[in-house]
Amino acid sequence: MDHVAVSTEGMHLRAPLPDEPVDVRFDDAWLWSFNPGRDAETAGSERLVRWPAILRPYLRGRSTVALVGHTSDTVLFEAEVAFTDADDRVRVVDEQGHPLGVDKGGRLQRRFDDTDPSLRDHIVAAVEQILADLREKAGLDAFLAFGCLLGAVRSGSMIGHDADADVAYLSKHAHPLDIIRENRAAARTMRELGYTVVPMSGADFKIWVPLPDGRRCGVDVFCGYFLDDHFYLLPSVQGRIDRSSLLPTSTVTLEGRELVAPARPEDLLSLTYGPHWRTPDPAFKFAHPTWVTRHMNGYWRGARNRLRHWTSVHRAAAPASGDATPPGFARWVHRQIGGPANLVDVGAGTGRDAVWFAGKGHTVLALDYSNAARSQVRALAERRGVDVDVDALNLFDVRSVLSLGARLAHEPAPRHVYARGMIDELSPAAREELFRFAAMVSRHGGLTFLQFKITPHSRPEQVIGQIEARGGTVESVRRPGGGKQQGKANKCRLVVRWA
Amino acid sequence: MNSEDNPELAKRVKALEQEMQEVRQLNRRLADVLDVVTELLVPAMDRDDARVRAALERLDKFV
Repeated sequence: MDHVAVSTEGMHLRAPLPDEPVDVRFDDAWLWSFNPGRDAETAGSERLVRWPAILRPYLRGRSTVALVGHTSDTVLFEAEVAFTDADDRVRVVDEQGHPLGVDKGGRLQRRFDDTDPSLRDHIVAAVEQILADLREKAGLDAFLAFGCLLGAVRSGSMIGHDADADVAYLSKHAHPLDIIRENRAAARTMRELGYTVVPMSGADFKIWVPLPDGRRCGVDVFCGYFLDDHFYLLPSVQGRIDRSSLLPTSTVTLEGRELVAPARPEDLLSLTYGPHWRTPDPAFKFAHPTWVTRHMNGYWRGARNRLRHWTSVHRAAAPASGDATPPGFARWVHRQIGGPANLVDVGAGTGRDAVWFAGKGHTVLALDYSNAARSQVRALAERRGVDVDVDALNLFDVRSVLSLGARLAHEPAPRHVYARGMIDELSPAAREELFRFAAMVSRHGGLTFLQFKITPHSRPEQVIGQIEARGGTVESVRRPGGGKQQGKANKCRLVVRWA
Repeated sequence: MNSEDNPELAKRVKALEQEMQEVRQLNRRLADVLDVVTELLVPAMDRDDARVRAALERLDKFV
């Protein structure tokens, strides 16, 4: 029996692997690295290294899977593996067909060592320009950080298994509200300078740098700050460091270019990667204490709640998935409305409901916070030959709710709001935003139709209480299937009118 | 001491943690609102609308 078996679940190790990071290669292309000592869990008589969740949807078809010791370069295992019956090769590639790998954050990324030298130079030049603009135009004390800083100090070059570029800045503020406002102002300035900027949280944003070959590279801009004498650095570094380790800045050389660095780069690297930061480890993972994650999530995150999940769901979904029969709720709402009407589908997802409503003669606006979902809705509407307006609405972001809500409320037409399954997905605060939005856009008349699963977190009386507290009147409460459906969660339907 | 020793205390800590997160999140929500207000106030004043002016004057009295 082989000492390693590979399944859709992961790698089953039946004998110990050497104590070094292990590279996983599919058809000779690096895909992921793990650390057997840290990542293997005991499963009966063997040890199991599970596939990162992000890889699972890709494990269809066959591949030659090899495990290679990263330091020793020894092939520890190699075999042709059939993950499913399909004859296709497993392909983990981006939209342009470029190979991807799993980075230390569990995300699929391109890698710098697949990038030719002129592209690397292009990336480093972009980082240099971004640093200059952050410092001179956005007024931030910005410097190189994370992988780029590590590569610069260790070897003067980019690290092969890294796939993004990172810079950081030390906030001038010591209150979370001011830190958020400073970050947003900087993001705005960079956008005004012509950069493509995506806010990742209240204290970090990503700048997409277009590459000459049509690809793009993400440069993350992370905020560092002192709160009550503790130092924090997005996304999840925390520890003791003296301000003088960071400022005034110094310089380091990366791929032949001189870039701004913290005052003492070694101090920040030691805090970021631990005392062994000088030894290369492609399987390195940040070990964040729970309280730091809670701190970061609590203060900065939330606007992109589960966005990555929904994006991967919509990207992985077959294009035909929106073609299925419309849910009973859509048909029920259609009957309630009667003739053609203005309808806003909040959380449109695949667009199945929105497109069906449009086919029935309604004027439909489909809203979703996931770009991938919005693309799906547009594609489905086009295939069906119906008109559906599509726009972004993020119920985790008050700005999105107020700005779109106000624009729609300004149009003097009655408008119904349709939200299937949204209550199930939303935090209590985001539910409030859903109700705020619904009340705003139906200012000139119209009803709000909600369907949700009845759970301890969403009991009908609790949801109704929230609606009434916002000034809504629940006109009808229905439990399809008489409140008891075999093998299915009980659902509740509400019809709401806002005063 | 672990949570089995004192389930009541563990429950209170969990509730406190939840409340703490809610308070932390207020920073972001307040920043959102400030952004919207800031974006709107200046162009609103530029329109030289008497109602906007009156509304701001009313607000001013409470500051």
